[in-house]
Amino acid sequence: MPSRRRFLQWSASGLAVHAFNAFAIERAPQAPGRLIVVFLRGGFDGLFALSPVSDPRLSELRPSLSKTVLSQGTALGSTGFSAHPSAKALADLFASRELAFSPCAGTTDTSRSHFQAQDLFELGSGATHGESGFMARAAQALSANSNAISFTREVPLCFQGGVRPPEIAPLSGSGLKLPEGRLLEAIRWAHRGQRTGDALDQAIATEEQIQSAMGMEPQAARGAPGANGLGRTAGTMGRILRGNPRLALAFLDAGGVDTHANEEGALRRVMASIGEGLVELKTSLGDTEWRRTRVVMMSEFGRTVRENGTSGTDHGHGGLFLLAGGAIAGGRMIGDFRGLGDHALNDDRDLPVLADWRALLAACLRDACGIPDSALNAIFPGRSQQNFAL
Amino acid sequence: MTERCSIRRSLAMLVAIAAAAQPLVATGLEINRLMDEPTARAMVSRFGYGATPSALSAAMSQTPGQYLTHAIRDPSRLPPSVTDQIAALPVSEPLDVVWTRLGPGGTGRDRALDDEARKALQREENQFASAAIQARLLTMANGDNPGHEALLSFWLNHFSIFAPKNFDKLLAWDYVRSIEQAMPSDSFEALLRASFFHPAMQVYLDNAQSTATTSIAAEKAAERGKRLGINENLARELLELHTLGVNAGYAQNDVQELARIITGAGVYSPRMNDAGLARAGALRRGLFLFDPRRHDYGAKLFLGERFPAGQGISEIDRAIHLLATHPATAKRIAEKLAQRFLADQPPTQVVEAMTAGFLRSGGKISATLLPLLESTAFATSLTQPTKFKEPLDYILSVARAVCGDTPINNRLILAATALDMGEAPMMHGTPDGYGSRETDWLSPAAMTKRVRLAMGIASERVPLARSDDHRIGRLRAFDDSSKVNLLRGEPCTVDFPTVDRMVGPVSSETKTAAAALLLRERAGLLLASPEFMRR
Repeated sequence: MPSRRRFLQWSASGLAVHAFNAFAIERAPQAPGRLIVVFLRGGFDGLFALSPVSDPRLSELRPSLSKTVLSQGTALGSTGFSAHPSAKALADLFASRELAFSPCAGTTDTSRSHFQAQDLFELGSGATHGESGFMARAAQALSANSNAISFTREVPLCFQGGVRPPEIAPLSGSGLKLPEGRLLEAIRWAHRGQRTGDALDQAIATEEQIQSAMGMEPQAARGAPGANGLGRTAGTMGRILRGNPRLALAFLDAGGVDTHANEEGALRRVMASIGEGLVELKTSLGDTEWRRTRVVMMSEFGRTVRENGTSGTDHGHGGLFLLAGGAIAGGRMIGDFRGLGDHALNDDRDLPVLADWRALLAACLRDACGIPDSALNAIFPGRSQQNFAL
Repeated sequence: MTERCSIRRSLAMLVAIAAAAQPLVATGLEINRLMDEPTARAMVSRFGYGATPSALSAAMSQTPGQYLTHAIRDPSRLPPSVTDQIAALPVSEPLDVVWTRLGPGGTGRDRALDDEARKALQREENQFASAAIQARLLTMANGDNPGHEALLSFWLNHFSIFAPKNFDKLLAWDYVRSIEQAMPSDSFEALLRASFFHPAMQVYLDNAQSTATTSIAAEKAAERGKRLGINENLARELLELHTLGVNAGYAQNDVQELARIITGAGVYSPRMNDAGLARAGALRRGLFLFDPRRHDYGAKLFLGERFPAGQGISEIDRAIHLLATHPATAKRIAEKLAQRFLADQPPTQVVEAMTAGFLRSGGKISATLLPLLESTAFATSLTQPTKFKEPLDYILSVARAVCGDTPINNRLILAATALDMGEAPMMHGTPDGYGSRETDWLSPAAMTKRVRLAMGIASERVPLARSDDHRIGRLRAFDDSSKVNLLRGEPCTVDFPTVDRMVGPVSSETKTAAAALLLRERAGLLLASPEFMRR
């Protein structure tokens, strides 16, 4: 597979590039592996997926939402946590030491606003406004022969404002086929030198390459029918990454986890899909690439520890951080968990944040992409000095 | 060659920078002078979905001030073929009839349905959601009051709902009409109330189920072993998205107190016992219901104000009034309007003048928008538009420029295209609504879709005028496998001089590019030109 192949490269111009450009970021000498960041938008209830079943207060705080996991969950080693039956795939990966989790991870957000907390997460600077996202800065620190890719339709905030635009391969939505001919040429001429023209040129130049990458293996298109979202797209993503080892840093996002009401039904499907996605990713990457790969998954915040009056949960604070991969030190819990007692809760309602998201991501970037400490300080300025060995 | 181009580009940038610092048009728009054609064209493109010959002549018989008043006050009239079409959609059936049959506990649900019947029921419900979106698009494309449609869309997006959610499928079209009916009051509070007191918003943000833990309903449920309680979703978004904005200084405690205040607000359903409701002192407005048995009658402290114990729906009115007239709300609404109708980063002075207009008038929309129309920045922006069209701006303006005064009757194409480009009305998944900045929408995929649409319409391959397919249909993408059906029907005939006049002035690059083309192809180029992608 030719490794020079490029997908769409597109840098949205909303954020000032110049201010960011002013300080240089030291590059990684080489990328030993690869990091895939999966961002669950909407505030994911980690306590539903992996529950602290050994805590006596669980059934009191979550009378209906804890029922299934208490009776049918799969214990995760001696951590005191169990996986919900719909998250059985996660329990299996945990058992084979390919998955680790941190139950109280999160950001410094106090607004409990989806939109503000997502911005805070994606900018990674500790502020809710800024000039560039952390993935854009991380892409700049990748070794010279590595690249970053965003499996999204548009450029997400975390990738904006960088000097090395990410490649883009939307995994869903209709194709990009453009008719050819003199009319198209005339349109390109009219748009020359403008932002609309840059976007158009990128679309045209790389259209074929996307098609052929998607079709790298014929069975990919016919593919395994996934339940929804992640299950199906993870296979395509895995095949693209396997065929392009230079892609050392990847991002994708998913929604559908803002469960204010009737959470059990909604998250069952989501967890099944996440589990299926991880397994499909592992399969499609193949053994060798899976051993080089780390996947992290987190959300802008967790949800209230108590279930609300409508069999759901409201916006909270600390939440679940998942780390998966073929060569990680899995089968364990990362960071602290202080139980569900009154003294342990944040604002008497949420899990506290005991593992800072930037410290966790910094450790992943260092391990997976070989990014040096000086660059990590520029990617996550002023982050907590927590040091995680992942 | 390339070097000359880049010099030209830097010159253009310099001019743009100079323009930002010192506008080329030193004075604002004459608010009381009839609009000339260039101003009218720019106006129906900024406050509206683009020019048609009749929209141009209508705007040219108005001053900018009259255009604004007309936009706020008067609903659009539609061509008879469009009116007939909407009348034939399920959303035109009276809502209380639909609700009695398909609402919670309705007669269409009360038997144990087999799988087949349940699927048929779901199909029927989905058709209501699809029809609401299609009816809205038909109105936007064909309405004779473009300013009204643009403002209505703004408010529908500000008070965003997701039509496919639960019973909102049945309620979405009534929600559109309720927001529209609040517009002539020319008051933000009226719009906020129309949204809050509509069952669609109560359902969308889960407040219909939210119940005070101390209430009669919660106690009764506890006897049956069921737990009812508060859901703070609507309270939070009411503060964060509909009014004050996220950094306006309220705290988590205010969210919780507001959630308590608005308990009891919800939705009437056919399975309720009317006599019981009357005994409990429940209050119905249409399908909105305030049920005292779910309300929290305790004392509250909200935004520093004491709400004494024992108050019912009156404290909801009080909280909404407090929010609607709050200075932070004024600033937020001014900013959002300026971003949608002036620039991605509107000048601070304009936003400040708009905020002041809002506060001085007690939240009048006209008083908020007038300083925008009068600003020099607005006058400059009409001659040099910089706003990148959102997908709906683009789709509808292309369709209108080509169809001219021929009605655009193909709601399936409109819906499928809007969905494919990511901006179908009432289909935004999260309550923040669609963004309006260039960074929200410009991408390689977006450009591809726009070019493809413009070329399809200009070559008369897209049946905008009429579809042969009369089903309501599920919403589908423009070019998925079902396009064979979607593309059957009658296109609008391309008349180059009309398209040329509707598009308006273009750059010398676009002219050069056009000169190389056959006359027939030139319409496609104009519609896909960089100038026509901005408004």
